[in-house]
Amino acid sequence: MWEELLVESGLNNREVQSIMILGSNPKMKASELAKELNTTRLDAYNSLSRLQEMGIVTVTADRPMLFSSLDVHQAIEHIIGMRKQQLGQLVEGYEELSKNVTAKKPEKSSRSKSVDDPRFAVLKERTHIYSRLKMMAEDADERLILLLGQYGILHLCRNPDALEAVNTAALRGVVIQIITHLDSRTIRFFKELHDSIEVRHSNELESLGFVRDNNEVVQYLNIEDNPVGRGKDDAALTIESVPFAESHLNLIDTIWENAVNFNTAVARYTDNQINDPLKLTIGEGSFLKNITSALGIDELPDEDTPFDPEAFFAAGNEVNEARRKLTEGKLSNLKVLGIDIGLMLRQIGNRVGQEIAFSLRGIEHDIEFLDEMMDWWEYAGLGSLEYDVDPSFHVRVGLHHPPLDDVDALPMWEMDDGIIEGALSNRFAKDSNIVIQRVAADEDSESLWHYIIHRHNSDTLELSD
Amino acid sequence: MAIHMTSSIIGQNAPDFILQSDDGTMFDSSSLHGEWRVIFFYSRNNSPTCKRGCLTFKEQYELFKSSGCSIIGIGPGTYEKLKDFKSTIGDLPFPLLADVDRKVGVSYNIPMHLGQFPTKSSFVVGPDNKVKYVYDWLFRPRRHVAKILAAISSVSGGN
Repeated sequence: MWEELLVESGLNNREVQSIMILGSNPKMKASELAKELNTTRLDAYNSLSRLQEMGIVTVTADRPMLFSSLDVHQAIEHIIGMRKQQLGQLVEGYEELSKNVTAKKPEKSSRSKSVDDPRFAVLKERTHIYSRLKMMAEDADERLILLLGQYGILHLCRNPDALEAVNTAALRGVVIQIITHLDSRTIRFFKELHDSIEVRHSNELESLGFVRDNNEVVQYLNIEDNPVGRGKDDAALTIESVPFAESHLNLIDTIWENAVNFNTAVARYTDNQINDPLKLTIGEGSFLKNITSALGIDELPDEDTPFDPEAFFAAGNEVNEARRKLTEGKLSNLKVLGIDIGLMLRQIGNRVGQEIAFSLRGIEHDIEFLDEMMDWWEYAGLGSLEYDVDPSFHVRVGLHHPPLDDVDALPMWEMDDGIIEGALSNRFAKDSNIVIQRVAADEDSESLWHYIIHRHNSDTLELSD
Repeated sequence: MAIHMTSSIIGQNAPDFILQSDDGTMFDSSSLHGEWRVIFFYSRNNSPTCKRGCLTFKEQYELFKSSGCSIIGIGPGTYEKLKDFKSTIGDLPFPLLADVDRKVGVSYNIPMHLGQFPTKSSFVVGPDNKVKYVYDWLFRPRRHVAKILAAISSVSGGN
């Protein structure tokens, strides 16, 4: 009876028998299964491979590999869900073509089982991958993480069953975190998520996948180029392994810390500006050493520091003269403490440059971008910029407020120059054909330094633009 | 930049020319004798910088007009290419002329930069038909127009 249903679902006899055998005898070797099926090991492997791609069979990471299957009831449920989704997609495609009306599509489900040994399977097609996400959401006890990249939110919303399972998990208290790479075209889809789901934006993480508790990881191996396609070529590796999941979580936690809150990041598209927190490096080296040196204390504390109650109380009542001088509010005092104002101003300038490049991102042509950036910089009264093409294209920097010898003067020139640095690096950093080089000028030059924009394989005709 | 050949004609008579204008008529530069004028040469039809240069002259046209100064734009290539370029820019309050074989550009000493493409150069010509000011530019069209405006104010003495 069950066998007939499975055959009806489109499986061949050998695949059906494999499910029947593995469903009641988990962790079998392929050779053992082949013997039970009375067939060759290659044929058994072929059947197992297809069942793995469908998400019905999993394999342990042992040697030799041990195969397990959903039980027959779960397998049929799983296939029904899959077929429903495929039918839904067919209907949707048909309706789009014939009436230009978007249809809905359903999905399927199955059950997962407890994990003792590491197991893995390769899932093919987006349908199967998001079916697995649905299972993960249903099975999640504490935490579910979704790495959605640029278009994953679109795929999630196109799989209503998976989306509902994720939102339901959030509703029952599972902590759900999403790391995405925001794209203006997909922002509206995030409204489909339950309010308790926290979304952050990261430029650093492009990979897609899911992590459930500390048990299971799905890692995308391949994704179809067309983001609005069906995902027939999508492939993912699903791994049920506590150590693997935990190491994945450690990595994700680090990225999560540096990722930007959704509402802040979305301002890039709603307000056309970057509002991300700016984290500054204020200096390097031992700050303890800096302050002890500034206070005139030569010795660093160590485990043998003697404890003398009288000296201890007396010391608490004294005012260190060097400390008093530090309150005079001079920039050089900050330098003594290891705080590099110039470095900080340059970082602020870099951020301003990044924002300028962002606001000019719609300009396709690099020369036009440079024109706009240089015009803005001069218009802001920061100095004068000149370009030259001899011997190669470069921008000469002339600052209105060049570096001074006065250690207490605020080094605003660092910020002014940092703006150029930030704008150029932000515009060109992702182009492997372009290298930006900051070069000190010759003594007889009017400019202090210049930025050379090296372009490999450049077409000199571009300069005629 | 090693491009200063154009400045050698400062103080000399501006070469006259007759070229086809974007409206199809023939433009004779001698019709502007006795007036201040800016003749700007751009290097390539349909390049973003050249387009921006034309548009910046358009944006500042009233300032030029109030200085009693006419504007003439000259580009390389055929009349058809000039028309294509003009169609991407829209209306201009000054003519664009087609210097098909670059003879006029050569007469104004406009060099081929790196031996490959002509510099973008602008000339301020006085009522006496003498070249008063030259500015060579490759990029930064707005700055170029600002320089020309400043030069007109300076060399014309506000007249």
